[in-house]
Amino acid sequence: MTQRGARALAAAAALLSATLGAAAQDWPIEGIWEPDPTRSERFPAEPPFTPEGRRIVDEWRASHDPIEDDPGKFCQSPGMPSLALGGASYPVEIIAKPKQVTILMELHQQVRRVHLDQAEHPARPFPQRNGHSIGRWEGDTLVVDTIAIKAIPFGSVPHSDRVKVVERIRAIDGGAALVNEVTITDPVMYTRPVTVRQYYKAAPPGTRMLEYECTEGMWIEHEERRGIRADR
Amino acid sequence: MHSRLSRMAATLMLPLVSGTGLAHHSPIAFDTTVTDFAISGEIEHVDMRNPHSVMRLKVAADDGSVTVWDIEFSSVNLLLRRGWDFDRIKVGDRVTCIGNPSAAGKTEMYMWTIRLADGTEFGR
Repeated sequence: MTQRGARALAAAAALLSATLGAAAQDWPIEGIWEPDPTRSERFPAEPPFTPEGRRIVDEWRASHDPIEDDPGKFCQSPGMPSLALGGASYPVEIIAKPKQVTILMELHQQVRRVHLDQAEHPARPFPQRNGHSIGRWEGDTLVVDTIAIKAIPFGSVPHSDRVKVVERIRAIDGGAALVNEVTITDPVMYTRPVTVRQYYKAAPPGTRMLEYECTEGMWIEHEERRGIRADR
Repeated sequence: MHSRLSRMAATLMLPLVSGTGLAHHSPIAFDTTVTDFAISGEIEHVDMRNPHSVMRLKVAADDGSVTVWDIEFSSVNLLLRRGWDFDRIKVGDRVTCIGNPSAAGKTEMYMWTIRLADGTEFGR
């Protein structure tokens, strides 16, 4: 089979998978979910760094004061895969459609789009903090493959731009909970793949997602520095 | 020249002014082994926002001198979900802030619980 023929077949299979998924279920992963730290695992404090990974992280930590140069102070989202590993108490909303699953994260107002109608990633996707995601249904499990993630040396998972993340997301406990099994592979930073399971609880009825404007403090500091802010 | 001198004076004065801007500290800025550190005073400024909310509290000493403390606390989103009633936390109110003291001995703290004058508490 030619390469073009194989691609066409893969695209048709992806579309069929999306269509069958739509017909076969009512998207049990849909809804608003709250992180459940009592069940979730953490990315190891001492992950299996390669020598290069260790060097990158040590260099960053040596040049940044943990209080003064805290990225969170400047509303820096760590992006994927740190965002998929929770670590904060903010909810996540999942909206499933036949061609796309949209994951809305309240923390840092992040939006992830999982393309179900693409069998392959673009040939040269531009690296961004949350990368490029494609997905498929395996029964009731959404399998998400993410690449093209911008290199970030901070956050719970320091990573290079060669990191690849595979997530297996499914509802459990009769829909009362959700689990995301996250496998991180990064040949620059880590000697082997690391798998971490994140658990969520179904949010209580009436829960609504809130906006998360994070830069107000920076603007206020600017106004104070410029002497143009009337104190309130 | 006058305007330039004014700007210089304003710049020199800035460190003396208690800022309300970048008040998001890493947890290591606070002594998290101490959770019951408490100070009471009058709210001079309060702003519920993300990533962390901020408050300035005027704390009077026995000799009558007043020190302004910088209080950092949780994000507005999480406070709302925990049921904090923002209408009851206003400038001029007397409150007690309870939480972690500064790890460096500064007049700063991270507040987990606020106690209002009538004894009402909002916490985690």
